[in-house]
Amino acid sequence: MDITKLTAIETKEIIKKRELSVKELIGSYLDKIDSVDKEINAFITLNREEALKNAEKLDKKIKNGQSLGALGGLPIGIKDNIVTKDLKTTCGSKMLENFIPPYDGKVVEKIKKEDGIILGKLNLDEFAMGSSTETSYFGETKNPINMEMVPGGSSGGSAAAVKAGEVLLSLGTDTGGSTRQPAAFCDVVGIKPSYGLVSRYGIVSLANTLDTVGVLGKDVEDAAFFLSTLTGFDPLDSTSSESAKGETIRESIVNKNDINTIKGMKVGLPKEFFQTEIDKGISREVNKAIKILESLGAEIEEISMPYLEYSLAVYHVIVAAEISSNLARFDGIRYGHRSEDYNTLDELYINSRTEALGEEVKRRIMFGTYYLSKSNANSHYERALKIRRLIKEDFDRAFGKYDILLSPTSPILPFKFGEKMTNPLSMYKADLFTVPVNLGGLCAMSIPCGYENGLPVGLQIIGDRFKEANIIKAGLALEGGLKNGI
Amino acid sequence: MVTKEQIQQIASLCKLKYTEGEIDEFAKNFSQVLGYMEKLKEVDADNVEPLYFISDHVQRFREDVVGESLQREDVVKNTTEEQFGYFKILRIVE
Amino acid sequence: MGYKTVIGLEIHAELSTETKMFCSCTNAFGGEANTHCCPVCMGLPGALPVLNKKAVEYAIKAGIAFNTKINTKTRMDRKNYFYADLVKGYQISQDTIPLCGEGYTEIEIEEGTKRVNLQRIHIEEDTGKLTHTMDGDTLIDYNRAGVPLIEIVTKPDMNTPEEARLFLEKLRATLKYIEVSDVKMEEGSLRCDVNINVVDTETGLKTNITEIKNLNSFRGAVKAMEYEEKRHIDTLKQGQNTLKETRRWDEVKGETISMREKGDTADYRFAADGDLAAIEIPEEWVNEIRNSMPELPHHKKERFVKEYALSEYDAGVLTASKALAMFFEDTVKLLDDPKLVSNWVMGDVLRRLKDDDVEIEDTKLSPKDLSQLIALVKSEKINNNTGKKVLKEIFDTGKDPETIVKEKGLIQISDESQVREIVEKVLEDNKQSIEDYKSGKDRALGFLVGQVMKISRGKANPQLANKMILDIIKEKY
Ligand SMILES: [Mg+2]
Ligand SMILES: [Zn+2]
Repeated sequence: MDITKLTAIETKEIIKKRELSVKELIGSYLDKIDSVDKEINAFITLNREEALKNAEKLDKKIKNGQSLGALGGLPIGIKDNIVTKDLKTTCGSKMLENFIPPYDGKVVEKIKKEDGIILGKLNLDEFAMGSSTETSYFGETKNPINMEMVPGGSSGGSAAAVKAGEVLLSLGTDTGGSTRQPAAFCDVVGIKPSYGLVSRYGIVSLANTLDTVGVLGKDVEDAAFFLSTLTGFDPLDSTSSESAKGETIRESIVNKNDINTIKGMKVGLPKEFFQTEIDKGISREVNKAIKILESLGAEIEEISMPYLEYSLAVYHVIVAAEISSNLARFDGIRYGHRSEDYNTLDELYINSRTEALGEEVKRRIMFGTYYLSKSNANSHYERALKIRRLIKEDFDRAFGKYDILLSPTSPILPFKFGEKMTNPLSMYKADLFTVPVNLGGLCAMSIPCGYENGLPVGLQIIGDRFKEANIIKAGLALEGGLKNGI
Repeated sequence: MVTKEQIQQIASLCKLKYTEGEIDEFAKNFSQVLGYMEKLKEVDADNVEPLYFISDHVQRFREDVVGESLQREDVVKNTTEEQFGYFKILRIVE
Repeated sequence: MGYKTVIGLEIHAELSTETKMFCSCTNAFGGEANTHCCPVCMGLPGALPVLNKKAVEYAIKAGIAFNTKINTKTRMDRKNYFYADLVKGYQISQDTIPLCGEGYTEIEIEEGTKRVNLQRIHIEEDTGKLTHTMDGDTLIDYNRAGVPLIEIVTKPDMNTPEEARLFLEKLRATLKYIEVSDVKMEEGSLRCDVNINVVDTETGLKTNITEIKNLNSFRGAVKAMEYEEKRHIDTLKQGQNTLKETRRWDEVKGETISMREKGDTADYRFAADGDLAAIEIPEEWVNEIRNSMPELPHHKKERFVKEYALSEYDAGVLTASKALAMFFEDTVKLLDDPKLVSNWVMGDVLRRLKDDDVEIEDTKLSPKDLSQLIALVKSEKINNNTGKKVLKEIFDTGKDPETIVKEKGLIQISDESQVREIVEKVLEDNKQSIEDYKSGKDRALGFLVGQVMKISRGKANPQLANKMILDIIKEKY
């Protein structure tokens, strides 16, 4: 039996029944990584020794009759823009090539506390800016479904590692779709929780009013279960919510085999989404998925959300503005790349930043600086924030009536390397359906729902803030429906 | 249309550098994206309050109680130049 | 021809909280370099700020003391710029909605009471500290990075350097009174920038505003303003204008030196800091803080005038420092003679404080000592002059007055026969002075009393000696 084919929940059972030691489990995963990652390149840094040491510790614990935490022994990968104490955290950038954080992010702390085993740090677009994992300083990650294709991004490494069986669960981040879109491209499940459900402490900020952590797993239950171990108010994150609790998520998984859970669930289809240019194969598979949900008792209706069409532009302005400020700390003085070529403080800044930041990163910093500058702040940044409110209000209205909203995760299928690098606008469009969710601070999931020419299609299920239970219920139902050929 | 001078000025604000050759290309790309952003002007949003924060709760303050700081070796360990526990910049002329 | 000087001030005061503004690192002054640092105040990737409640409370206290509006709905903003002492490439500060809006305070100038209006008081974080070595390298210590500050901005309401000084004194005393800042300029916990220009009152022509930065003493600030005032007037007289620029005060040369021209280029790209949720100050909290405020200097002054029947002037001096006012009141509690206590404090005590450049709480003199000392003088156990000597002795040694008097044998001689003996001897030896006195030279009497005091080594009761000299002259001569 190839142990890496099992789900996290199944693997947990095996460990619990002592059919396999944690060390054997981790060994199998490390072997898998050794055999496939040369090609896939999902990992930037492998945490081999630490992982094996921790596995032994857990085995000892089991031997002593102690029970393990919720993530007991499961092999987990972490996107490399989440800081890990004493383990290199690069953000996929030359800037942080040698950066070793002196502290753990809150989610990392939680994983360690729940006895998860961190196998290493996963590849991403530089500073999570991108939708293809092509801009990483450490090379591109390949899509395990088709090695000629991008894995999506920016959490491309996180999605690819799960699909290739290199880890059971992985952490991504999601600022405009960075967990959901690669999940769709790599045929796995990705959940973006509501803003504030999971602490951002230790997530290297891209755009801090949009960033959330994201979770990826082989199926809905794995991803949802993983998410439930990470939630909760964090006194170190003033934007985390006190209503951030994992219980409702766990409850929604308990009823996973009850086919009636979505009977009467109100489902909205934003017409502005479906009217845009969508790959034909994607449309077909998504419509099939909607039919399945309908046949399981969901009530489907079309709705209109007039401000959705401004999402990309609003997103672009806000993200760039926040990036330009968030990335100012990378100046070469306290950490990160420092140019050897400087005679003035200004040269130290300019040369260090220009040498170590990639094209896309610099481009967005430039845009953001422009949007925030005195003469443009009102016409661009403030305006974007106003329309952000209008978009959020669109969602508030929709969720006054519906439990979930549906859309394709991405309007396009996985594409070839280099195909969209030349035109930033066409790349941004890959995030068309995912971006509005971040603008509204909502939760959403991408779930595999079919194939077109052997390439995976993802369905996006959107839920209101802190209503993760709804999207999980719908996801479980769809998964069951697809399995049972409904 | 964004001018080369404007691009230079933005770059100097955010401490980046573009060569003469890069700048032309960049100015073109910049103008193209800004053109797309014109879309935002279609919306009548004059009387809308900007959404500064997405969390709808207000801030919970921290109590004024001293906690642990980092060990100094951890504070300075990621810098290129360090001396006597200080961060160091070499001979800058101001 | 007349010129009007226009001065506005920007003051940064460090708040004396236990911890920094956004993290739980200690806010203690000094410490080994980079030992009061954590991921948050170092701006490490991923770290997030959480606002210190005490810092907000202290800023509100300052707002109340300066009669400002408290903005109960506000937020933190980012001020984006690069400098080596700044860890994140931005300072977390406040832009459009300061925690405390417009307010005012009053200063006493020769012409009477003058109101100085405040633009705002906002909260922000301090930066690290740069040191330049002999080799020309720069060393950076971030212990101060993230220390909570209030920035107080006045309107351009002061018209002389003296008014600015009075305002600064008032501000310092007030912040100290309400115990929100140590206000130690030498430790950098109070820093002041000046904006100054001059208007020709006839032509209406004005010079461009000069900003003077990094003033680290009140004296320096006043000298710098006086220097600039003159420079601006001279420039106007020459029919020219000053540059819009930032200058610094060179203490050694006694002049201001241009640092940089102030173009319109400063673009801080202010934006709300999304890492910190919106701030809402409950009205009840503001009221709670208001009710817990200590008595402010001007209220205390009014009370002193009423309660202790002191003059406005005396009350003003006694309440200028909280410690001094407390010392005075504690002494009066032990010796119920406010006027007398006030005379002693305003006289020899204050003189001594000024000479030593110390605050009353840093001396060896306690209210108990002073009350004992005054009691000794009042009961004529020692005379006034001896009292002064004893006071000096207390300041120097910290011994209590009774002990000093006993040890040095300073008890006043009020025994009539003892004094008579000395007086008779003095008169015997100074016949000429007696004649002088009789012929109308009053000064001669003073001389005779002085002789008595000299022979008695200061211990004779001078009043008694005086009376006895007159008696004996009448009797015998
Ligand atoms: Mg300031
Ligand atoms: Zn700190």
